[in-house]
Amino acid sequence: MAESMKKEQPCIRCAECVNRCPVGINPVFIMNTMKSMPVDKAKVKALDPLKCTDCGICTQVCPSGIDVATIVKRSKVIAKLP
Amino acid sequence: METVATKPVETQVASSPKKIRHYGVTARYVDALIALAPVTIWSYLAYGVYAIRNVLISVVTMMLAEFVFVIIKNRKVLFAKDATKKSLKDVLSPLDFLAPAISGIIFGLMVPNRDTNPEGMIYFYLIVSALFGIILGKLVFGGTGRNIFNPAATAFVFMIVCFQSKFSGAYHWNAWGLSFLDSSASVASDATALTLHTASTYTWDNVSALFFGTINGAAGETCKIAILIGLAYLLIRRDTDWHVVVSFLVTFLCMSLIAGLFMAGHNNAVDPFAYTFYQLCSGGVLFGVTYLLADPVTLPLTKPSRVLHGILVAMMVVMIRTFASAPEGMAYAVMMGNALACFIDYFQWSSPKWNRKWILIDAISFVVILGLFAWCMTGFDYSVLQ
Ligand code: SF4
Ligand code: SF4
Repeated sequence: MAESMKKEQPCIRCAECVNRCPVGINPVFIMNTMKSMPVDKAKVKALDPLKCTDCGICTQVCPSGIDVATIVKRSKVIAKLP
Repeated sequence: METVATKPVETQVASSPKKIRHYGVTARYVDALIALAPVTIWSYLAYGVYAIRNVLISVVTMMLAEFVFVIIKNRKVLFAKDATKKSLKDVLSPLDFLAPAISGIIFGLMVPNRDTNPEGMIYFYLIVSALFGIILGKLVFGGTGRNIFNPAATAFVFMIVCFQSKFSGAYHWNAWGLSFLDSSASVASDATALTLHTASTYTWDNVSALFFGTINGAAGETCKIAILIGLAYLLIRRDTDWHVVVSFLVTFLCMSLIAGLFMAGHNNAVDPFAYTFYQLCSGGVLFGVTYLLADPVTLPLTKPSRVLHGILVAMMVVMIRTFASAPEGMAYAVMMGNALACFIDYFQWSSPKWNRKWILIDAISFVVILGLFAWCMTGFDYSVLQ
């Protein structure tokens, strides 16, 4: 993916990823929660990343070249914690 | 894309999922610059070098502030002694120049092109306001993409609050002596026109003068045609979300029409439709919608929240214009809306898709706001209309 190999730009909250996600979750919220330290487990669970089908559309459409899908995938581990 | 021939049918092999956007975030900011071009050219025609001076000073100030900020942010890698050291070229991205340039142009176009008192202090006012806007509006939050306030709106509000009384005397209107500009302009699209609620102001002649920009005002806000070209460009390129623009304009027009109908009820000289379009074309409403409100960084994220955001900002603009003593409501309302955005978008109740709850919330807030405003209008002081 030449697009995602480029230097990551800051997220400009364009909401392309939110509007295109086929299962209707909010990838950029999940990303912001994952990037905050310490990660808020209850918040990650409430955002329901387990619905994600790993389709990768959010990474494809992001104009800033952020790999959103990978971050959502990582958040699934946290969402599965008891 | 290559075509692979199989036996029964011809199939096309393409990357999956299909790419939807072909341009990145830098192209979006370049688009914003292009959308600002018609307004800037118009200001140059109408105000000559004075408009360009304002724009240049604020752009240079904001760019320098952002540059210093980038150096401070990356000080660990820039001044490292070992192999982790990076050069300035590696840490700077085009966005670090484009974003402050756009904020600076927008701010410079909103500043009134008047003489200042004392003479020559405009440089000081511009530099201080631009620094305030970019530092407290954007850089303290972590730079491009993380700001909750629009830097241009913050700078403008600071300038209005601190230095409004210092701008006095003549405008540098029609610096080139162009024949199609009315040099004896009586209606100003600037602050002063909005505080006068006289019935004779709301005529279609004034509306057309405001629309074509043949009258005095803040540099960028006079010619509505140039602004509409910029808005159309941004919408066609899908750089801004049409939801917030449409919901703002619909709410604004409905509320202005209600105010116009109430005024017509008390004074037959007022034409409610002329009043509505006078409100739309005067001051910085269209300019603010195009360049301040529609900036995605400071908007809520989901479509239903964006519609609600537009409704709330429109309500604040009309309320400030009709009832407050402050003349120009757009920048204030955009800033208050920015502060509300993260509340509207709280993850517990925001929803990325339209569902019944959000359709109800948007519809109910629209109706309730119109009703509350009509109720407020019964207490309006109609004696000022005479
Ligand atoms: S990868 Fe997951 S979060 Fe991203 S668009 Fe697909 S389903 Fe949505
Ligand atoms: S598509 Fe990229 S830039 Fe846009 S909101 Fe999502 S993460 Fe942010």
